[in-house]
Amino acid sequence: MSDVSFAIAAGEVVGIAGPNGAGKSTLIALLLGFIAPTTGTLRIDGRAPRQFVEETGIGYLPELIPLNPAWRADEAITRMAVLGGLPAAVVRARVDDVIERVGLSEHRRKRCKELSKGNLQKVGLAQALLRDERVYVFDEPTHGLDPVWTQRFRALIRELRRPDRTVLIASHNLDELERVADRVIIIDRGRIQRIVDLRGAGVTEATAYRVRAAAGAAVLLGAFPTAVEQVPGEITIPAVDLATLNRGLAWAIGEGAVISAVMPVESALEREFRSAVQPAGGDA
Amino acid sequence: MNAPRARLGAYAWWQLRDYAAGPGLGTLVITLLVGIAPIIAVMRAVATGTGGEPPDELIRPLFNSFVQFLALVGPIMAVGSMVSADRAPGLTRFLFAKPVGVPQYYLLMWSVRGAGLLAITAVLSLAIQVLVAPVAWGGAVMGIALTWLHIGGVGFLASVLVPRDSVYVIGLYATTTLLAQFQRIAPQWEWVDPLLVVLPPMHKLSDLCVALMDGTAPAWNDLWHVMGWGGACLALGAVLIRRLPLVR
Repeated sequence: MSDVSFAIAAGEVVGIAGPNGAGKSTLIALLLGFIAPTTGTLRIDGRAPRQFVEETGIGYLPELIPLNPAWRADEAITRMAVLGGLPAAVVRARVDDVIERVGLSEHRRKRCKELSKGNLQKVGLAQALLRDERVYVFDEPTHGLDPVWTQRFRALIRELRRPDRTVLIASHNLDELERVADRVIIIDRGRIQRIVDLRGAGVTEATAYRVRAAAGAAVLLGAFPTAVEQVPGEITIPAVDLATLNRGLAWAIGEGAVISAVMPVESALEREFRSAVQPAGGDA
Repeated sequence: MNAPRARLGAYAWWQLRDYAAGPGLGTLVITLLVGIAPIIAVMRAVATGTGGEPPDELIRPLFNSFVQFLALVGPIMAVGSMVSADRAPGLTRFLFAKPVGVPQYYLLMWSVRGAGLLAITAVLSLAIQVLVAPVAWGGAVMGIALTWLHIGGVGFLASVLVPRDSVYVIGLYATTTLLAQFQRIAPQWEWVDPLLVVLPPMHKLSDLCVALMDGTAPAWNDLWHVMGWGGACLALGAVLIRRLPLVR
């Protein structure tokens, strides 16, 4: 990685996005002090990453879950609880709590080698949640999780949000990042290409929309002359700003159109990501 | 600032369990099969012939061979891949996101495995003492402790530096033993001497072990040489493990 410079404030949820091989995992390894930068400095709360981790600990879910295949799920989590410094008196209750929280109760006695990818991911998630951390780092957190647990993960991030806490999420899933992150750092070829602030940014820009009409599709086409009806009842409106969109929709509804859905063809983050990564001709 | 730190003392029990279920069990099985079988065979033969206890001159060399075998197999199995086996698959990502000092974690593991190996030595030696004849079990434990310090120290450094570290340790052992043989049978090959000076003195372990078991005075220079190498490698490994990447 080179020319990487950014700061994350306490209270923020920050995403890291990038194509395969962009440097996301390297960046996380640097942040946790697993590797040292050849030049430059990293500081977490004023301390070198390794020093911060050894003194404070970080709630970390790695992309891969390379726990010993012979360990049982609850044993693996208990080991991490002991290494996390939880007092002996609370270890069992805390382990039970996180197992329950991630929905692993019925698989807790299975060995890691017997667990499905999703359940192994839950073991990784459970051990990251053992302690009340100031910093959480999740690397591809919903990898292998079913849609229900993907949704629950979003709820979990909302629960973790706290003014004195920082949450970092690396993911390929831009939709997921857009739903939970305040900012997203887009990296590619080992460099930061863009930092997108999702707190309000992008919504005023002209965007293409897909509108589903239960009735009155023809009226919608009249409201947006450049729109096209690609499939019956579904109209794609080329880039318009929000004011124009709302005016057109209001008129169409007034003329009898019944709208069932309005979706941006491409989210603000997806647009930023595409434009940040596309020039490289990378493998995004 | 006052976040709880790892309870390494409690984690030592997990490390002991890992040793017992893995390298410890392997050491026990191999030693029972290869090391103790000849002793039992001799005991049976002698008991059948004389009806009495096997003579000391028969038991002593057999016991010495058994301990020397254990002194090679035990440390190599105990220290093999100690660090590299965690680093290669990425288990280190889990371990060292917790508030754990990396050298402390592995030095504890080194100590636990050494204690486990000494326990195996004591149990097997005492079993021979009870079942066959009196043996120098205390000397055996001291001999294994010495080899653990040396081979365990060199092996720890190797495990910090390279994957497949056991191959290097076995290679070093074979090389120094062969060179020492050359030195003995062909003193005119002067090129051997400097090599034996720079390589870890693994070839000296066998004689030192025998001296400790026989209760005779060991060659003190050799003893310090062997202990110094082991201790230095262990310390160097503990320093380097903080500086080298924790993940591959």
